[in-house]
Amino acid sequence: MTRRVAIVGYAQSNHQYDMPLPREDMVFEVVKGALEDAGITKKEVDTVVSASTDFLDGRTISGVFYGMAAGAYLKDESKAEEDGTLALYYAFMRILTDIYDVALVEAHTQGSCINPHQVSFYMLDPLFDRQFNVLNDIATAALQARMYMSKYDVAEEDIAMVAVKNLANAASNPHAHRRMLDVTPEEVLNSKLYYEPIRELTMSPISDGACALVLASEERAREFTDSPVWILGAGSCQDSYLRDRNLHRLESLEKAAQRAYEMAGIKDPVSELEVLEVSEKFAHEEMMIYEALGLCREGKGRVLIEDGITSKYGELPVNPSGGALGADPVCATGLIRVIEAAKQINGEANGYQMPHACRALAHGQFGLCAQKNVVFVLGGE
Amino acid sequence: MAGTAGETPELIKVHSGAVEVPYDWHCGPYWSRFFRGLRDEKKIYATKCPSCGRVYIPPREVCGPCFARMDEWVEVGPEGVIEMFTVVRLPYTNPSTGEPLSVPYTDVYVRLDGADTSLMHWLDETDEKKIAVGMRVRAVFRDKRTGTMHDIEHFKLI
Repeated sequence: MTRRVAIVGYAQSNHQYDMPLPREDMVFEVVKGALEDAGITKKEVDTVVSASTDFLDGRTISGVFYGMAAGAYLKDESKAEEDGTLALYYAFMRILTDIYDVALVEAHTQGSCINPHQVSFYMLDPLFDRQFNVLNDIATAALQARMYMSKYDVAEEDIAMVAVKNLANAASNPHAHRRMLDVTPEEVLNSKLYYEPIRELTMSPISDGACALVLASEERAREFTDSPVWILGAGSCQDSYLRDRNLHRLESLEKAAQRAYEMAGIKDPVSELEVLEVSEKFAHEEMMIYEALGLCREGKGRVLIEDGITSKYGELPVNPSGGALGADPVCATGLIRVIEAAKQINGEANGYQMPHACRALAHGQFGLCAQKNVVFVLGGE
Repeated sequence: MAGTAGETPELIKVHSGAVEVPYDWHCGPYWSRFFRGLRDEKKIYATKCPSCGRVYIPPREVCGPCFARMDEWVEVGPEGVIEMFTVVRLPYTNPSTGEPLSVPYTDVYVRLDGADTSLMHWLDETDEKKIAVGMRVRAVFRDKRTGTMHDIEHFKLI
C-alpha cells in the first residue's frame, strides 16, 4: 500500500423504528458528531461519500437532497447506491490517490418511511422472478436458509442460538434497536414465522438510523488524533444473481476477505483477529459468514455457535454490538459495523468492550442473499 | 428455431407490474412547524441562518454553506414576486393519483417577501401574456386546511 489511511472520528444515531425526524436532520446530527469526534470542521473535509438508495430515500439522485446536511455543499461529492462500506471503500481509494487527504463518509436509511422488504422486490429479475409476485429479500433468504440447513445438517435451534447471542449482545449497546438481554432460544423459535424458516427474531428489524465517519491520510490523521484506527486491508466482491450462484455459500465474501487479509498480511484470521463485526441480516447468514471469512471449515459455522467461540466471552467474539440483528438501518448497517470495530480498537465500547482488541474485521453486504460483500481489516497503533 | 427464411422473428416485451411505492415522510420539528403555521395560522414561517442571515423557505435545519443549525424563525410573505414561471400545456399523469392532469396550469416560483429562497406553487393565471417575472403575487389559503402544501390553494396576481 502506498499510503496509510486511518479512521479518525465517527458517530451514529440511536437506531430505532419510526424516528420522528426527516432524514436530513438525522444525517446532519451524525455528520456533525463525526466531525466533532475528529476535532475538525467541515473546512478540513476534501471529499464526501455517502451511501443510501434512491428507492429507500423516496427520490432519485437522492444525494442532492441530504448533501447540505452531510456537509457536502460545493465539495467533491458522490454517493454509493448501496451499503455504507462501499462508500468507505470509495473514500479509502480517493485518499490512496494522494489527491484527497480527508474524507467524510455517511450512510443512512429510514426504514419507517417505506418498508425495505417491499422495495427488495425490485432487486429481482423482471422477466422471470418478478413475474410470480411472491419473492422478496426475506423469501430468498428463506430459500437460502433451507438450502444451507439441508446441506450441512443445521437445525433451526442452531439458527436460534445466533439470534440469542446477538440480541442479548445488543442489550449492552445503547445505539441498538432490538435489545433483548434475557431472550431464550424458545422465545426465538416461537417468534412469528414469516417465511419458513425465517422468523421475526431470526431476521433483522426494520430500523431508522444513520452513521458517519471521518477518514484521513496518515499525515492528517496524526494532526487530528493520538488514536487513529488504520485501515489495514480492504476487499470488495460480488457474486452472480440468485439462480446462477451456489446459494449455500458466500463465495463473494470469501474472495473479498481473501483480498483484505492479503492486504493486511493476515494468514490466520482466527489467531490474528480479536473481534469481528459482521452484517448478518438473517441469523443463518452469520454461520455462513464465519465459513466465508475462514473462521472454520465449510459447513461448520454452527460449531462456533454451539461452542460459544463467537460469544462475548469466547475466543473470537463476533458482533458484541448485536450486529445487524440488533439494528438494521439498511444502507448504514455495514458502516456501523466499521464504527463498532473501530470503537473496540479504541477501547470505547462501553459495556461490551472486548479485551485486547488490536485487530478487528468489519463486514458489510448488499443484495439478495448477500450477493455483494465488503470487508475491512482495522488495526490500532 | 425462429421463423422461416425471410421472416423477422418476433421480439417479445414482458410487463413486470405496476409500481406502487407509498412513502410516509417524517416532517420532524422544522417542517411540522411550517405546516402547523399554514394550517392553524395561515402564516408562512421560515428559518434564518445565525451565521449568514439567509432566510430559508421552506424552513430546514441546516444552512448548507455555513453547515450551521438554524434556530431562529421568521414570518415571510404572504406576498412576494414571481421569480420564474412556466405555463404547462403538455398533459401528463399525476404521479400521486394516476389520473391525467388537466392543462393548462401555471408553475410558479415565488420569492416571498422576507425570504432568500423561493417556493414552488401554482398561479391562478394561465395566459402567459398576462404573467411576467417580477410581478407581485399573494398566497390564497384554503378554508379547509390539513397541514400540507395544499393549505395554500394557489398564488394570485395582485
